[in-house]
Amino acid sequence: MMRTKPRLLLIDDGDDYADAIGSRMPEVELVVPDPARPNEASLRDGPSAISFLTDHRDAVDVVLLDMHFDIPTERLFPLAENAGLRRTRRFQGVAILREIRLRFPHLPVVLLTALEDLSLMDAAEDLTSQSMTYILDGHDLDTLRVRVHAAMEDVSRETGDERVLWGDNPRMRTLRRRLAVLSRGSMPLILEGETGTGKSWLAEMFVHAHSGRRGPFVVLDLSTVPTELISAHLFGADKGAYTGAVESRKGVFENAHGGTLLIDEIQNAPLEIQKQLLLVLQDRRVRPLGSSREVTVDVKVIAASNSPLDQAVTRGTFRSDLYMRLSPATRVRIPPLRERVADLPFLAVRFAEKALADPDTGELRDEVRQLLGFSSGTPVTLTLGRTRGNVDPTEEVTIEIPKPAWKMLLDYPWPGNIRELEMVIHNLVTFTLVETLDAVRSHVPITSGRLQVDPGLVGNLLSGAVCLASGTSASPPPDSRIPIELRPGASLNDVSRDVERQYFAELFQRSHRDFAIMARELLGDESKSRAVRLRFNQLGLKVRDFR
Amino acid sequence: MTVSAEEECVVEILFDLKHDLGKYLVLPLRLLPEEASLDEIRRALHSGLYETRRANGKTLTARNVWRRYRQALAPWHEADWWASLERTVEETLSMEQQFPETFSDRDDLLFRMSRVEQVLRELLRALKNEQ
Repeated sequence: MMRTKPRLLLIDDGDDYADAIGSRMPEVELVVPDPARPNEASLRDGPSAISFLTDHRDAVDVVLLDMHFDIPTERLFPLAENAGLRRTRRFQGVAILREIRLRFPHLPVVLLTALEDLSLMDAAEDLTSQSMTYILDGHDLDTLRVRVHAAMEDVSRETGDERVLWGDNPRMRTLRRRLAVLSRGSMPLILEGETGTGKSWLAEMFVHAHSGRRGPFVVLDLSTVPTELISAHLFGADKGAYTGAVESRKGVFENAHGGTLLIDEIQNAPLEIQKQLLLVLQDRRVRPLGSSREVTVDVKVIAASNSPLDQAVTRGTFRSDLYMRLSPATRVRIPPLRERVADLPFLAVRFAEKALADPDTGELRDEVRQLLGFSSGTPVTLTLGRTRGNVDPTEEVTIEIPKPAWKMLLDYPWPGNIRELEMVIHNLVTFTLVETLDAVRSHVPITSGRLQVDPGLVGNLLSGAVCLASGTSASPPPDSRIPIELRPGASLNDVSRDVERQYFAELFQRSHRDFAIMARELLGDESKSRAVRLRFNQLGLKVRDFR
Repeated sequence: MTVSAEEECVVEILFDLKHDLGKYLVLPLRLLPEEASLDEIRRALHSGLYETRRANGKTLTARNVWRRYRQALAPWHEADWWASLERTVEETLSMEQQFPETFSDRDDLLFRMSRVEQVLRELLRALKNEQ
């Protein structure tokens, strides 16, 4: 949870920043390292800083770190093997940052230097793509405010969706570093990845957040806009420009001025629209439909596609000149989950933690703990594939996915990617807790905290055949698949819940509003109707709304 | 802060000049809020020019700083970049005499006061590419 006032620790051999921040930034709190010297709001060198942070890490939200330190030699951290004294002083901030990162990898640090100056030294690329490291690059207080705000937002996100999205493997860390570099400034970016890989979330929460741009983040999903209205949505329209244009409206380019525009499903844009897009990207001007005026726009464009755009160029459905303008050099491909199988254990455990932290599932968790005789603080964790031999089942509650079930999850192709995995794990956790409660209330003896996930449940969830269509509103297909509309959400969790809610609502209708039939369809077992109904309610669905 | 004529590489000296003079000439102005008054701008300009570096209880003016570095850079006074650098520094140091008559807006003043830093940055980039 973000505090009201970010607490800034200044590491600087001078007082200019301390004076300016102290007198002109009342929205932040400068940490005073020594209460006996309240007028000294900076730590003067690396050793003092590390010592203070070691003892008072929890008292600091963001570090502001100068680059050049004119301090006694003995207080300098070494920079590099052959670095002379002047160079060591000049880039002492890099050496201090290195020590900070060793000990406090998630502590946000704003480097008080210009990007152009970093480019004059080696390792600049590494610094700009480092997680939780920000370059001030402006030396003015407005830019400092933006950097501090971005740092605080990243801190709160790092414990949530972002860590889940990136996983824990080197390939994704490399991707993250590359994306951090490409996010800077106003150059366009191509994001490719299958449905459910997190493109929209990445565009807003990572690319836009790291761009340094002060304008808004705007989204246009071309798959949700009728073809004849795409132009108006993109470029705006004057009143009367087309039938139904009862008032003038701005397009998303104007709305995103100074900020970032995500054009999702760009591969769906008709060729004529692509031509207009190319002109806008070239000239940085838009002309609303029916208007003679042109409006200058400064927009960072992110073009998202769930299929490779270069293949669309080869097929002739995407203009090669637009593709080149969007800069293929900036193309980033988010791998599908089936190419990140090594991340599955990490992601499954994180999604289980999120599920257990959900208020509704949390209630089930508390009830299970209580009925099994565990204290309210007893941890509940997910284990995968094999029983954890070192777990004492009388002191910890574990939800265990047995080997055969875990193999099913590993072998599954995950067409819905991360979003689908989150939904499946959430359901596994919920249903396992519900079945445990059912068993206890039915006087089935449960003597330990080891709760096994039913492999049949896993099989049924994976064969639930959710069809993640992108925005179509056609009538249900004749087979058993259920079409789902993907809608933007504030987080991965919100999007997953919306997808699951739609699925449950449709299945409920098809099951003639009978939970037993629904349980048979969903889990292959009519007797699990209570579990299904519980999940139905947890998703905010009400039976009376279906009458 | 010491400058020595024995310094082995001009790049090192120019880097330090960029920091000691280029940065601190303009930093007080940069740290002003958007809505700063003319008086505050005048004070920031004065601070950048006459209270440029403060260390060990001493205050150095921009001209003091420049004098020291000018001496350290003596071996390079015939270099093709020297005249341009010297001219830029002298023009910047004469800013206060012209204030406020030549003052149009804060951004323009910021730009002019940051010329030393920018020229040195470009020079360093050029020298680095030559190395």
